[in-house]
Amino acid sequence: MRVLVVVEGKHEHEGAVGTLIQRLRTDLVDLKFDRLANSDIHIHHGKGRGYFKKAIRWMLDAQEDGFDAIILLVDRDRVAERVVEIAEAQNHIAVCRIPRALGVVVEAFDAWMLADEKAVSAALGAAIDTQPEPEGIAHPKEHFNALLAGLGLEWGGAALYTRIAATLDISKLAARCPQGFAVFANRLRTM
Amino acid sequence: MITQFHVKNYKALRDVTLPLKPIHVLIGPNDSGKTSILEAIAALCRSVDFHFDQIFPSGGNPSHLLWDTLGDDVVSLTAEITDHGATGEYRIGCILRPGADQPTRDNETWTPHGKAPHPIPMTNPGSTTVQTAYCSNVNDVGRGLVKLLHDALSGVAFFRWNPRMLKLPVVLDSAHRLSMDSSGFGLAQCLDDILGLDRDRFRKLETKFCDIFPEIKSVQLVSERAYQWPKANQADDLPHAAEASGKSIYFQLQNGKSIRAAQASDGLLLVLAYLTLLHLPEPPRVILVEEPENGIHPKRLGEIIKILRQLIEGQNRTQILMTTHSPYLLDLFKPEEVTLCKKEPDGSVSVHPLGLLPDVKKQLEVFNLGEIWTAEGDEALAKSVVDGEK
Repeated sequence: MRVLVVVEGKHEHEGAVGTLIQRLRTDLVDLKFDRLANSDIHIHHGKGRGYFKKAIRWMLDAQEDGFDAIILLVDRDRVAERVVEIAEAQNHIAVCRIPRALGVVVEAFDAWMLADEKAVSAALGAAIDTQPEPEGIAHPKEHFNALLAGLGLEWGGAALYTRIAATLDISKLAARCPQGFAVFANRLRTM
Repeated sequence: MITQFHVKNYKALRDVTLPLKPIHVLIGPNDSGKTSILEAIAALCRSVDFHFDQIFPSGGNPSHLLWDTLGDDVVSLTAEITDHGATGEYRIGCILRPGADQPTRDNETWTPHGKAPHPIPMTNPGSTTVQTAYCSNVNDVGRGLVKLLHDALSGVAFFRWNPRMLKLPVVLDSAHRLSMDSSGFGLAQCLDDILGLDRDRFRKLETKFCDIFPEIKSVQLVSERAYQWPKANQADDLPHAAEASGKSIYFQLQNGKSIRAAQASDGLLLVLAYLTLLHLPEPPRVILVEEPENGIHPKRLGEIIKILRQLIEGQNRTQILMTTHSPYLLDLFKPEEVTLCKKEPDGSVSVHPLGLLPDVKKQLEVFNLGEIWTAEGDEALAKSVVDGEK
């Protein structure tokens, strides 16, 4: 199965998202990544439900390009409507029927990387405390950076997130990120 | 109204047939034949009012207007017309012979729906038009046909707006009463003519204009040194300054100040030009507009199309055909009002009505038409239409 994976930060998140996807669905090995903001996927007006339209446009494009399925992850970025719009796109089959797993990360992808302190500690080589509820952190990237700074470490780039994604406890991630990860994981498993 | 237009052997239009709606827009890349289609429609309409040597764009050897300069030298233009409950097909054939100074008439026919072609007799083909031919040979059939063709096609106006020309003061010239040239030059006179003819009509125009631009209190026409109308074959040149006085457009603002048209925005003048067309006592039957979006803010385009749709609905006789490169403009149209033009590898033009494309209709549940166009692209859309037709 050839799957298009659309994420907010292609280079930053590709490794970690790919790892999470394959831990949830071992059969998905042929993944091609693209960036949500790819200007070729053009919705020019911003009129109407922007993320709903954007998701449908990505699905149509994936279908035209011969993909068998699409996975799309967007950050909520404190905009509640995105959850509704992406849920609508997940269920909308009138325009496009390609199998899909669409998800909204609350508030940004870095939040998922904070869910399991043991995995983070192992990846950093330094013990950290259990972090606040990830979906309650308004600015997860800044939170992660502050955590590293407190340890005297610099952000380890995409490789760090890939290491965390490889070892984190999926059940714990789902339990601590019920609005974002749990919903997405369910859609991915049933895709 | 022209419900279908067929052109053969004109420029890149080797053999093109397109269904047309009361308001219709042509899209496609540059050099895809959109303007040629408008020119061909203009030529057919002009054949009702003008001699054949005046119906095509002037300049150069007329044979250069042919698709195939080595073969057939006849350009064929055919319109299916519905008007006053009558339907039929009006066809003209024009010979564009290499070396000849001007096009000549091959034939003209009118074919009422379901009947045999009815040649239009020209006692002196070199100097008569449809109108003069029938006026000199009046009978009931002739009068009916002249009226039908006149009502459907007469007085075509082809606009390639140039806001600079719209703003110029104009020397009043009775030969150009209630008209503008293709650039929009003459707007001041046109407004002055409307004011002189019917003050209430002018006030309605002014009120609509001020509703759209609430910062403006009134439109004024002031006498001042002005420009003469360009000669017919110099339409794209700047008119010459004249000693004579003419009329200039001024806008009185709500704050009491008054500004000349030359100081106003392009969009403001373009909206005024469209409203002027809407308020003419007898608007042209066919209006052709190239890229009406030029100089207009995307949000303002809705007002323009609203004005044009009002013109169609109010008059119930005017047809408007336009070209565009603007997805924002396209958002304001239904798929059946849009035709995509495409250049084929052999250099000829093919046309693809978007109304025939089921995928477009499906996508309209989510996207605006302009979004579908820009997202899919011209090539993919044209291919979808072709696939759909199969």
